[in-house]
Amino acid sequence: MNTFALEIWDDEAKKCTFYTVRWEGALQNETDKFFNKYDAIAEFKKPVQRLLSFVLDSIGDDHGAVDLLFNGFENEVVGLPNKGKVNVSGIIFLYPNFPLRLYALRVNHRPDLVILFNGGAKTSRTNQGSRDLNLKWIEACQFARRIEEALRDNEIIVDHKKRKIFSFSGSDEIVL
Amino acid sequence: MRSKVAQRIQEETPEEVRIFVRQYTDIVLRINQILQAKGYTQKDLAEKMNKNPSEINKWLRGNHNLTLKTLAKLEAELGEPIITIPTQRPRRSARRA
Repeated sequence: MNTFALEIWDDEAKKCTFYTVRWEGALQNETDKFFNKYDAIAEFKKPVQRLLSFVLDSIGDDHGAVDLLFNGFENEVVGLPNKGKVNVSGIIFLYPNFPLRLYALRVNHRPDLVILFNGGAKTSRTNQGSRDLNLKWIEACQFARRIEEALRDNEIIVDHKKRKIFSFSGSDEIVL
Repeated sequence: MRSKVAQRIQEETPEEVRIFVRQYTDIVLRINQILQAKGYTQKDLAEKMNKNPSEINKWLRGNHNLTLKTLAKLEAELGEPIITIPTQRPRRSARRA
């Protein structure tokens, strides 16, 4: 897997800090790519606004990343032997037939620290049937595995009071 | 800091959309919390309300556009308020001279 940076996407919400990932050399992080892409498509403009409000207002400001908002669509991915398991969730806005999925990892299952990845449009009943979405899900799982590995090995450390992640040397520039 | 992309989309988002999302999420969470507190399963609730469990699942997973009628049925069955209306009078706006 190529290297990527872990960077803050939003730390202004009252109950949760959101991180994102950026491929080395990429101009945009994965979450901005997702929102930019679908915001530019007329049929997705309103769903994008709802999803963003769900992330920043409902999760970020009102409730935090609580189970009920996160477990609606969870896929468990078994990592390589002895690497354990990662749970990558899909953030879905709670509304009938919502067309977009955004993937996320709750750091250590905490309600106040979430890493957002990319996502896509759900064009069939299953993820596997939505080709683009399936690729983003696989990618999100790869990011998640690497991040969980870094947490286990103390390459990165969670500062619980500040709701922030630092490298082992205390830097907020994190490359994995 | 907040992502500039997020800031831009948030600025373009009509206030009513944000109000809807927040209230809808609050309601779905509230229903689920009452169920948990009372130790009801979806199956229990379905039986009490003479409904199909799949219909109750839609309500509780947020996969349903909740109507006031549905909310009233749920409040009656669960015995707890789900939505409350502010009791204070609305502020008067200043009259133009």
